[in-house]
Amino acid sequence: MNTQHRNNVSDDCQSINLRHHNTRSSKPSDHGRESSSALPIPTDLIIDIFSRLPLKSIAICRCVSKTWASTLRRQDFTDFYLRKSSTRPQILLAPVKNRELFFFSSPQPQYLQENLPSVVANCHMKLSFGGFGEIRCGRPVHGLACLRQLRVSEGERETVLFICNPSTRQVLHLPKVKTSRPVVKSMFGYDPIDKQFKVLCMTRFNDGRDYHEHQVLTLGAPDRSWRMLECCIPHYGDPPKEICINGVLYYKSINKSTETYLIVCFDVRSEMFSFIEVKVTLQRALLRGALRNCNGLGLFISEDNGYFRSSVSERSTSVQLWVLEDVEKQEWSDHIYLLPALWKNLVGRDCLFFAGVTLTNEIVLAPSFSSYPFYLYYLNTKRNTVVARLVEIQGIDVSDYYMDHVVLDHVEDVKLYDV
Amino acid sequence: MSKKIIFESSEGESFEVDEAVALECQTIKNMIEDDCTDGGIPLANVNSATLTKVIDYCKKHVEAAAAAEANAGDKDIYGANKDIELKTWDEEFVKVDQPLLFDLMLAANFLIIPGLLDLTCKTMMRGKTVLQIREIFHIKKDYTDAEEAEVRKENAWAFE
Repeated sequence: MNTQHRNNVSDDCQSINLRHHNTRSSKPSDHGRESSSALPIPTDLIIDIFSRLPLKSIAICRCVSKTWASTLRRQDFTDFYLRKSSTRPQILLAPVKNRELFFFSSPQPQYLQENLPSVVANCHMKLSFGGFGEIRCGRPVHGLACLRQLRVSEGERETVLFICNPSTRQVLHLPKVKTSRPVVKSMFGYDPIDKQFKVLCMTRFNDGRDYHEHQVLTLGAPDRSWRMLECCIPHYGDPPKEICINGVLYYKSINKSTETYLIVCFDVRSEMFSFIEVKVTLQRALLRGALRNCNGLGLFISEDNGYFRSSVSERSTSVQLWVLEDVEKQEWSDHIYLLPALWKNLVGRDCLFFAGVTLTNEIVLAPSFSSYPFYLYYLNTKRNTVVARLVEIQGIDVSDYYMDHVVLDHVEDVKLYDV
Repeated sequence: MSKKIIFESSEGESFEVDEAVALECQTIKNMIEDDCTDGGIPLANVNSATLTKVIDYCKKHVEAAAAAEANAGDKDIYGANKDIELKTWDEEFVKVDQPLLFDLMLAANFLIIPGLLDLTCKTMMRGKTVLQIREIFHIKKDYTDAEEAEVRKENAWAFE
């Protein structure tokens, strides 16, 4: 056994020694002046090195050689990088103002030292849009985001959809949606089984109560086209305020025939729709609440003297959360968390929205506007405490920008996509 | 008295270290667990200068881990400071010339020291130009000038 192991080590050494034979054995004492890499290092090690590099280094490495660029495109590498990234997920911030949209990301504090006083958010990307028309960023999913720009020129409206990846700064324009309906909305979903991104687009006529038609496009699919989908319950209502959890896109809507609220569930993989009819007691909460991931579908709302609100402010007294426990039976559990006494002093005049829930079940609240200093509030429901954590937004002044999204568990995807 | 492990560098020089320090290397840990370390461990692909640095790194990280454990009870700013201190130490540790850094990386890969591999990889690429990276890894440019201009344009943000 003993000998065998030694041999193994020696064998390994020999192979490496051979590679360095010229440099090492000729001038053993002068190692520092000699190159150690007379021959290319193995691809496995190169992939291991790449997987440890920050995004900027990855981009520079793409320019080093064709071989490196193709290694960086390999599925095993991009999957590996993504897996590593998901073990130290980040917070993605998307401030928007005057047709300017930024993506920042910062480390996610619960994975760091608890007493870390602040985290730094660095800018990844800036998107500017000229002319008129609004720009909307759908909720980022699994590292990517789908953006929608409404262009108005000479009375003609046109909706342009594109995907952007803050990690590679890639921007992909999607094919034009084929429809005679003027209003185009979009949602973005990710199927973790086939590892595919899909854009679900909904079109309607100008009447807001008109039901939606649905089309879907798979990112990177060879046909590059929108496919029409059938939906058995006509529904309407926007903005949909969607959330994608484990391959299902959930969004709020209204049943066209019964005029009741429901949650539409779009299975990204099978492209099938299903529906969650919401009980009367939950209708009011659904109208205002935010759908978020809390290890399943959660509906968040705040209460202020008997009024339900989608935002949380100094006047709020409690936070209420419904968790969908059983999709089949459509059973929800109800949780009410009273805000601690110091809440008013801590939050000041900020108007907060629900960013999400951490792995340790802390509810994260984020200001609607990126004031300086920018704090995220972590509500620990077990201990009934709130911690404000400073996020130092670096490099660019985005104070007074509207925080379109604050997304937890953001991952860095270095794959280059084709439409 | 803790158990000692003896490493032998490519030049044949012996280095005696505490077992705890050697355990930082996954490769060595496996050997120790299989009881295959008597009479020293020859590291024919790690020279003395590199090995000295590797041992320094492992020693420091063993000490830091022990200190962190001793203070595990108090969750105060002290813990964070320790963390920052170790990070600063790491940064100083890799302020070496490029060939030694490269050797350290290969050693960390061979001995399986994830922290050191991470540190050396990141440091080796940080702030480097495309030309410098080609030089470090002995890579011949296989892009045509036009292709290179194109790929640089696509990744222009990284050069800002």
